[in-house]
Amino acid sequence: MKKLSKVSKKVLFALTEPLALVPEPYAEPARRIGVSQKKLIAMIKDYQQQGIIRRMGIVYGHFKVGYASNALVVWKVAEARIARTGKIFFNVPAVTHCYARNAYPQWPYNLYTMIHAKTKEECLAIIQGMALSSGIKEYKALYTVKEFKKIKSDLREIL
Amino acid sequence: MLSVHDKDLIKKLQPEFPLTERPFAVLAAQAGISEEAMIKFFKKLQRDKVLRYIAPMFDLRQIGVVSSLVAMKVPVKKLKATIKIINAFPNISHNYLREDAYNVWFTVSAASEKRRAAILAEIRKRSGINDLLDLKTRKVFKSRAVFDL
Repeated sequence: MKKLSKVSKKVLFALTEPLALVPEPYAEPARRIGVSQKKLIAMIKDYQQQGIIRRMGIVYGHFKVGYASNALVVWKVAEARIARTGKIFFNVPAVTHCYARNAYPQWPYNLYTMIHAKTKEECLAIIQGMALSSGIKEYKALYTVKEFKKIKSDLREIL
Repeated sequence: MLSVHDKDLIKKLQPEFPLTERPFAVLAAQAGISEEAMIKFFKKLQRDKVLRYIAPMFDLRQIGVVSSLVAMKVPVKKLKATIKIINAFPNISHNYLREDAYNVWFTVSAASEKRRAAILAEIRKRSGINDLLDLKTRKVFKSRAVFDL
């Protein structure tokens, strides 16, 4: 586990605020940190190299761009087949998230995929396709009924 | 409502924001419009709630944050109160109602394993619901939101 220095924590906190929609959006966080824009951009690139920042993301609201049918599909995969199945699911464009998780006796599912589709029919077809291509027969689709909360994690409150 | 033209433009944009002093100018050049028009377009997307935000996507695990997906079996009559208890924690970023006996699904992130466990214990205690699955991440194969519109 990487430990953060005080400086990088300051940088991460300044970057927690979404960027303003202005010609030079990096100027404000750079000012807060007390470095030049060039320096901040170099720091972000460095964090990207280290894997701390995946990318500077333009984040859309799924529901609003026409993805009305979303399902968390949970799969029961034999231990030896997890890596291979993860790779197969990775290549499905409708899959946005694919995680291996620990299972329980009353809940034997260990591979989790989030699927976004325009309609329930489309979602169903994608899931059936995944079952076919992976050969995984035990799975369950948990359709999203309602969104209770969806926020950007605020590092200042978590760290 | 997005026009076909808007959708075309979004397609050209997603999902990486340029790391340069004038990022909107870079995006504008790619799309063949002015920097000013591109900023105006982003403001429109934000107003229409199509754009949530532009920010770094952190891999929280790299900075020592521990997360898990949690599923709870919540009786309908306890749903409202339980959601309120869960959502009160800033550590919970996503919380959804799903079609299953395990109907409430949320993500919890904390600076330490101890803190994460304490939050779940607190949720159990306050809600009185013990049927909870703590699904810790073992491996991330994909974490991305890219769509064709």
